[in-house]
Amino acid sequence: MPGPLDGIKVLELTQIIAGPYCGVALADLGAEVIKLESPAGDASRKIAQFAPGESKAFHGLNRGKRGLVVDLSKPAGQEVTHRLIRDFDVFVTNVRPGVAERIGVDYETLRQFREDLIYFEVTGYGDRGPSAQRAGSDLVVQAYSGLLAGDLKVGANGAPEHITATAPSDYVAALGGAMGVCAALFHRERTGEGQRVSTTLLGAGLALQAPWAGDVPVSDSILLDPLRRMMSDLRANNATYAEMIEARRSRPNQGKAFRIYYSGYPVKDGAIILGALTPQNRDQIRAALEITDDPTDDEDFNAIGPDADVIVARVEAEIRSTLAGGTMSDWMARLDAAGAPASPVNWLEDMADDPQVVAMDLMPSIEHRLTGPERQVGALVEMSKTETGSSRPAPTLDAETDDILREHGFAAEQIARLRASGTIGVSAGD
Amino acid sequence: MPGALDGIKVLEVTQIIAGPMCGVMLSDLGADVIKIESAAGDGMRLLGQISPGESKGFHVFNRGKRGMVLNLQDPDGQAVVQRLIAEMDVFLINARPGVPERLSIDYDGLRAHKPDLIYLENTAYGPTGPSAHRAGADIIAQAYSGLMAGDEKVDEHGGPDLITATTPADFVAAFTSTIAVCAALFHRERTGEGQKIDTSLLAGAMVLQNAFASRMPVSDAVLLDPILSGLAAVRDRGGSYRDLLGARGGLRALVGGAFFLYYGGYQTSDGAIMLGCVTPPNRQQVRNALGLEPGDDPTDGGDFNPLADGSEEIVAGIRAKISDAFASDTTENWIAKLDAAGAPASQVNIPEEMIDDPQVQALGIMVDLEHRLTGPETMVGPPFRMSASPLAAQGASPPLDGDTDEVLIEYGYTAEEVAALRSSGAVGLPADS
Repeated sequence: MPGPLDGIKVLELTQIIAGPYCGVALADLGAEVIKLESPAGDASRKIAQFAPGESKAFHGLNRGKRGLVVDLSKPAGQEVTHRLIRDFDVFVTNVRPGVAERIGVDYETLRQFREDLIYFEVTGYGDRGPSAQRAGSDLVVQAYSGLLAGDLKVGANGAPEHITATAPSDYVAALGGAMGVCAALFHRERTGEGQRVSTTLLGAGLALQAPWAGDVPVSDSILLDPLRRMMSDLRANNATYAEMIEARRSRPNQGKAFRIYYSGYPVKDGAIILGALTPQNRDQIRAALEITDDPTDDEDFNAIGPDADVIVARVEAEIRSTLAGGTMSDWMARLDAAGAPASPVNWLEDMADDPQVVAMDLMPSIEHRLTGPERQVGALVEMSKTETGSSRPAPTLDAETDDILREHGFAAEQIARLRASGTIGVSAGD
Repeated sequence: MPGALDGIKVLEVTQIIAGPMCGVMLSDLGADVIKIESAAGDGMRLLGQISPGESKGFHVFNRGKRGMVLNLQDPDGQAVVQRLIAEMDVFLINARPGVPERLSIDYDGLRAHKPDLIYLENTAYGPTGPSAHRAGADIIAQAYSGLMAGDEKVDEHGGPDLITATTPADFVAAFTSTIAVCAALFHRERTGEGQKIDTSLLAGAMVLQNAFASRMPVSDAVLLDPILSGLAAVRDRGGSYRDLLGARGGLRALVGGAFFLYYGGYQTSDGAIMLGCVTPPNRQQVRNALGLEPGDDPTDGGDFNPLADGSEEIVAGIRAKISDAFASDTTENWIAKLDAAGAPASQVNIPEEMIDDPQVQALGIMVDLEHRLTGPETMVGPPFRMSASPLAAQGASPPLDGDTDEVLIEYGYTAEEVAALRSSGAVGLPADS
């Protein structure tokens, strides 16, 4: 069964996560993805290398692709790309603003060679505005977009205490790109027209915080504006980040009652996370815990009323003492039986062997040609009529350059000449 | 210019974030999205209500849609879905597993009325496996997938110290769902064939931890296996989650401390600054801005082994130099110097204040909408741009039962039929609510 993007050819000039993961998502949908690297290779090859130029991060973010090395700082290298692009449907890049123009892979240049090209570009801050030319990466844009402070990951002076275990802006930008490319392919199929698709890490960071980033004045006048005033007062008094964070935490907040059942509690031998979203979920938890006196879901309960905090604290304490009296396996069995959302706190390192992960085949096996067998997080979706997932490993640097050029009409002599001049491939001295 | 999904019709039975956000993005792409709710409404309406049944969260995750209320427990309500679906292209649902079958809105039931339907189902754990039927939510997927512990958000008992500011598994599931729907539309355009798509919060959370979740024996022998045996030893002696976190050593143990010299934060004379360097050129830019000589940091050379004896002391020495430098000037001045050097750096902003940020405004990320009940609002708009088929926010979220009659009439119901369905309680809110 071919994938939904069967036959679609993608050329990517990408690095680190946001560009590369977009390529993985497209490869998982059946596209043929070729990664173009400079002779130095994608920098993520060197983050925790375990063989020269091979890292776990690079393998995870570049599986399903073939690799091609071209030196785009040389005009002859740019010509190679311009010749190749005629055979491609999609180009993906996350180079710094201005770099694409300098090395001849910007949208306007490439579309001259392939009129209906779909061109996806992700940058840190976008192509206009005061920060357009600034460098960006996931962590920096997490700081910029408010995500880091919102996650309370900063210490008293704003320096981070926790670095997130993932790169949320990068992944969301990558997924946004794959979405845009698929929508653009659909549009091209209906109209024959290609286009430029672009996104930013900043937009991705804000999308992840959509409910907090927006202004809804009717709501904000009660819930948010007092906080904003408090924060601007604090800032005027040179308050620390710790004080700002405490102000955010202690504001009148309808979420406090919600958080009783959307939080974690210690049990005898660990902790359990509760994830109730609806009154029904909370009823299920109350049934499993035999809690009968909780007015917070009553229609007349005022979540920002004067006694709300006291009531919330009383119910929270009852849940805490109830859960503390039982073991993880007992409580999980009772909560599961009640249909309530709950989980133990697992370790990522154990997840490859988790029975649900195994049953869903979320981490398929792949064979890397240099470093052997590996198990990686696979396709995000299953589709009933079109295959998803790719069994191809990440490319080793320069392994397929000649093959790919030959497939796209380059003669053996040309390839040899380009290699001798250092236009393609990794030079013998590297 | 119409959007890429102009003319595509989407019907959704969704709640909270993962399903609704997919509907928002399809509407941003130009699809006509209709949300079906029960008379009680999406649970999100009640979370931080600002007027009855209206919350900021609901507004954000349901902008651009029309809304109708159907009683799907009632066979007459189910019959409405079956009649509407014949004219739809896409159906979205993120109910509990088994619920679609019970309400006769499962894939096989609906495709009988629309053979080339694209049907997307999002669940917590996926359609098969030992946890398939368990209840889930973003925070559950975070805990289950290791994301919460990996983020060091747990106390010594494993309970969360911090609840994340966003719902990462929900968002990734929503984005993935939208990608899959677009890919399926492309497939249908080429072959005429519809299909069923399954996504899960668990898969979403796993993708976010991609590189660290994977098993690569050649790498793991050096980097991961010692951590796993350390975890097992702590567990054997009944150690706490804090002890386990210590044994795990966080990302530093997996990547090496040198990387975090330039990927992390420092205090300045009046606050803090965040560095986000991921390449050797980035790190050189920072050293240039700090006035460090090229030879001042041996950790960035190709031959530095972050796991060798003594490497931690070398890293600590460089960290002290960088810390001293940053402590000597203000955040604003350092940002200017690092920007000039081309290095990725930022101050740490507060989410509620981002709406006024000049870069956010320059990009037009926020969109102004007018809600029928609660008036003007500004919220995060489409997450990307397309040059030939631009995305556009299609409007504010629907009030509960706001468009039921209009939608039914549009899809061929007569006024008498609508009135009959409404009086029987199959559609719309009960008269006394």
